[in-house]
Amino acid sequence: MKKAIIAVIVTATAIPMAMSLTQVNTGGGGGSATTVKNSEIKNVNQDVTNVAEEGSKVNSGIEARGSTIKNSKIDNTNQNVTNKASGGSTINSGIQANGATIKDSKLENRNVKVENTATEGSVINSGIMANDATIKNSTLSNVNEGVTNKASKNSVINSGIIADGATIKNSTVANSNKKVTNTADEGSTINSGIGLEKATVKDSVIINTNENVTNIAKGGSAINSGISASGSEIKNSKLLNQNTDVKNTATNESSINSGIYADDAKIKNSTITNINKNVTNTADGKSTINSGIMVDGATIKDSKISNTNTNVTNTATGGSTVNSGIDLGGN
Amino acid sequence: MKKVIYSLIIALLAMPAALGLSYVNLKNSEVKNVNQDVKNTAEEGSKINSGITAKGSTILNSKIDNTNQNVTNKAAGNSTINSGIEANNATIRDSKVENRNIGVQNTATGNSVINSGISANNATIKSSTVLNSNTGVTNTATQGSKINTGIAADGATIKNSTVINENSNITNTATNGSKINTGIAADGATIQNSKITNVAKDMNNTADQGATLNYGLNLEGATVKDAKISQSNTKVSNTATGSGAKANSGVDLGGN
Repeated sequence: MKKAIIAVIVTATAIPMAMSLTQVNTGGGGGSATTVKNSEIKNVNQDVTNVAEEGSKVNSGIEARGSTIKNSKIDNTNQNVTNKASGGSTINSGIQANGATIKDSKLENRNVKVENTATEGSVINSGIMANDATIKNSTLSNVNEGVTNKASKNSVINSGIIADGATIKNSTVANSNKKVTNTADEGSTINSGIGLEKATVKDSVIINTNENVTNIAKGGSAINSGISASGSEIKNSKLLNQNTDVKNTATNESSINSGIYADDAKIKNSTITNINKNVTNTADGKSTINSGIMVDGATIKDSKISNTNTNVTNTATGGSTVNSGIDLGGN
Repeated sequence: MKKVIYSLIIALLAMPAALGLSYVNLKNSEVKNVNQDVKNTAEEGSKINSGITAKGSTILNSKIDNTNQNVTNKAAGNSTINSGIEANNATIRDSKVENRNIGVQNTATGNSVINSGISANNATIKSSTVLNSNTGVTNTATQGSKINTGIAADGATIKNSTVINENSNITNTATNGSKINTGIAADGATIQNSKITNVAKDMNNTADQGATLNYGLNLEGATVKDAKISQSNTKVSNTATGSGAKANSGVDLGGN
């Protein structure tokens, strides 16, 4: 039995953009790490309802924080699952592998017809979390199909992949959103894309796909349904992000990234590709939307950066900013 | 029993801080952007970039390529749209910068700014090629607005380079103190050992009430050495009316 306390610290400045979810394990009484070798771990949630209230915690997924996973397969499926967290509560119905060492392995997570509702400083993970993990010769795969994420009142939802501060080598990180609606309100944050803040990515492929996705951020909230990799080191790698039939609406000092955001990154011998098809970006009230490529302050060598907009409508009002092109600085 | 305390820290950084303060160093790389069937509308002091911005960046041995096809840009109320290439104050060496506008409509009102061309004011361009072409472009600027669909290189240093701008089937209308540049504007620039070529074909230009139109070569206050400057106009119609209206389809070396 595990006893965990999750503290959510939301540092909100004027207009939020980059999101980094970082795990900090405390010393005293920390959970003992499991070693998994040549094994298969499978978890299936079908027709499951998880409700966590008043500072409670529910795990119906896979927890593998700090574990060593070698030559193994970790497989998690949520089908027809409803997660409701309120009053500073936490739900995990995905895969939690923060601080883990993953080698020659496959982590696979699928959300089919999943509804996540987090309110009042609550946290839901129905995706994959691998912050500060070491990932080598491995595949992290996450699929969202028919998923609705609603976060309000300083809450957090992850239905994508977050590997902030991770070291990723010779690996593939793939995330797909199909028929997904993300609504973040009142200082909340949703990630249904890939978060790789301050990560090291070498000889790897990072792929994110949004198809029929609606992102609505209001009241100082932030949504990432693209690839967020600011401050990362990317070498000999390929980053691909595709938006097809995507609607982004940010109001009241909110921000949405459905493109590739890699400010201050070091990019060498890599290919960064972003494709927008049938995309509508609407930003109002000092809000910000990026559905293109933003690499302000980055160092780029021997690389190829490509962005394509087809049938795209950008509307910015009330002191807002929209980028659906390539921002190499100074915009 | 495990006791784990972990924090989920969400750092929500201020986007404006990332905009305008950081510059990219680009080496041996290729940057390509394509806009097809794109509509940009910026109002009430807003900003849209659907092109490439590289202000203040260092670009070495690289290729920057941008294409706008069937694009509509509308900026109103002190707003800004870039669907071209913005490289003001950039350092560009041994590189190629190319921008194409095909079937583009730019409308700027109320002190707004649209760039769908190449803006390289105060940039340093050495041993490089800068190419811009406009085909089927309509520019309308009113109420103190500015549109650039050509090459703007005011105050730039251009050495050992080739700068070519081509316009075909263009309608420019500037009124009420507005400015449109579809040509090459390099006021106060230093041009050395370089080739500057501007070609205008099938153009209809109207400047009214203190508006300024340049689709020729504007080189006021420039220093030109060992250079080849070429301007060509075919089937061009110019109309300047109202006090202070100004149109240049030739080569302006000052005193126009």
